[in-house]
Amino acid sequence: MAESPDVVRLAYGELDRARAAEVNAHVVGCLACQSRVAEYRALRRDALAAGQRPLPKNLWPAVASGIAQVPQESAPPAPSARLVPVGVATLLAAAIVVFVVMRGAVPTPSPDSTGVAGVPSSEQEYQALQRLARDLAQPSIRTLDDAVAEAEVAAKNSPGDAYLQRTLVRIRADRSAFDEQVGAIAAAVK
Amino acid sequence: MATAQRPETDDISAARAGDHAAFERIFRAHAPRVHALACWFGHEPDADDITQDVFVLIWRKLRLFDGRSAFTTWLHRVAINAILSRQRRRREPATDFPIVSDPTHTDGTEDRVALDDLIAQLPAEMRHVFVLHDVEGYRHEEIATLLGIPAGTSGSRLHRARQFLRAALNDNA
Repeated sequence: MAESPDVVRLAYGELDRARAAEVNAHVVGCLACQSRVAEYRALRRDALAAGQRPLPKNLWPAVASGIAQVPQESAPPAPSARLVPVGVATLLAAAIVVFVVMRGAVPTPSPDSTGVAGVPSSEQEYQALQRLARDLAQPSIRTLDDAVAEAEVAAKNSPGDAYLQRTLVRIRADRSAFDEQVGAIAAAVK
Repeated sequence: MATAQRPETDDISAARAGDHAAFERIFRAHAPRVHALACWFGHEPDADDITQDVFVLIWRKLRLFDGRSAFTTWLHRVAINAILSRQRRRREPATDFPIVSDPTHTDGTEDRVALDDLIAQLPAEMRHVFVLHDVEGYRHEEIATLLGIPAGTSGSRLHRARQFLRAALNDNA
C-alpha cells in the first residue's frame, strides 16, 4: 500500500482532531500503517534530540573581541530626511509657478509709472512678490537646514559609512542649489 | 540570587547604542540555535567560527533592524543567509554534502549519530527544511521567509526528507 501523507502527519501530530480520528481509525486496523507511524514517531523523537547540542563555552570572548573592532552600520536616514530635497524642489517649483502666474496676471507698469490708486506700482509688486517668495521659502529653508544638521550628525557618528557621507554631500548640494534658485528668482523679480 | 529578566527589546536598544553587555545577553539567548544551524547547514568543524562570524555580522547590522519583523526572525534570517553564503563560497555541491560526525558532539546514542549522518546525506534543499522544521522547530511560514521559498514547497520538501530518513533508518537497522 502506498504511504499516505496523512499517516505521516498523524505520527507528527499535524492533523486536526477530526482528520486524526479518521486516519487513526484506519491505522488501528492496519499493521503496515502502525509500523509506519511508530517509525515516524521514532524519527521525530530522534530529530528533536539531535537539536540538543551544547554551545561551546569559549565562543563569547571571540565574539566580544570581534565586535570591539567592528563599528555598527548606521541605518539610512529616515525617509522624511531623504525626501526633504524632493519636497524642497517641489515647493520651489510651486513658488516659481506662482511668481510667473502673478507676474503675468498683474499689469506691469511702465518704468516711469509712479503708481495710481488701485493699480500696484512696480515697487509694490516687487515687495509683494518678495513677501510671497519669503513666506513660501521659509518653511522649506528650516526643513532643509534641519536635514543638513541631521545628516551632519549621522555622518559624524559614522565616519566610515559611505552612504551617510554621500547623503550629507547631496543634502548640502541641495541646500546650496536652493539658495541659488531663490537668488535667481529675486533677480528675475527685480 | 534571582534576577528579574530584562526584556529583549531593552537589550536590543542598548546594543544598538553600543552596549556590549546587552549584546552578550542577546548572544547567550540566540547563539545555541545559530550554532546548531551552523553545524547542520555549514561544515560542523567550522561551526564555532561560523557562529562567531555571524554574531559579529549581527552586531554590525544591528542598527539596520527596523522592527518590521520579530527580532528573532531577523537575526535568524541574517544568520542563515550568512551561513548559506559561506557554504556557497566553499562551492560545495548541493546534493553531495560531506558526511560529518564530530565525536565531540556524540553525547547521544548510536541512533542519534546515525541520524546525524543521514541528515547530512540529504540534498541541501531537503536538509535545510528538515533541520529547520523537525530539528529546530520553525514553522513552514517562517521557513518560507528564511529560505525565500513558498510555504507549500517547504511542506513538500519536508515530506520527502522524512520519507528518505525513515527508509534510510530502516535500511540501517
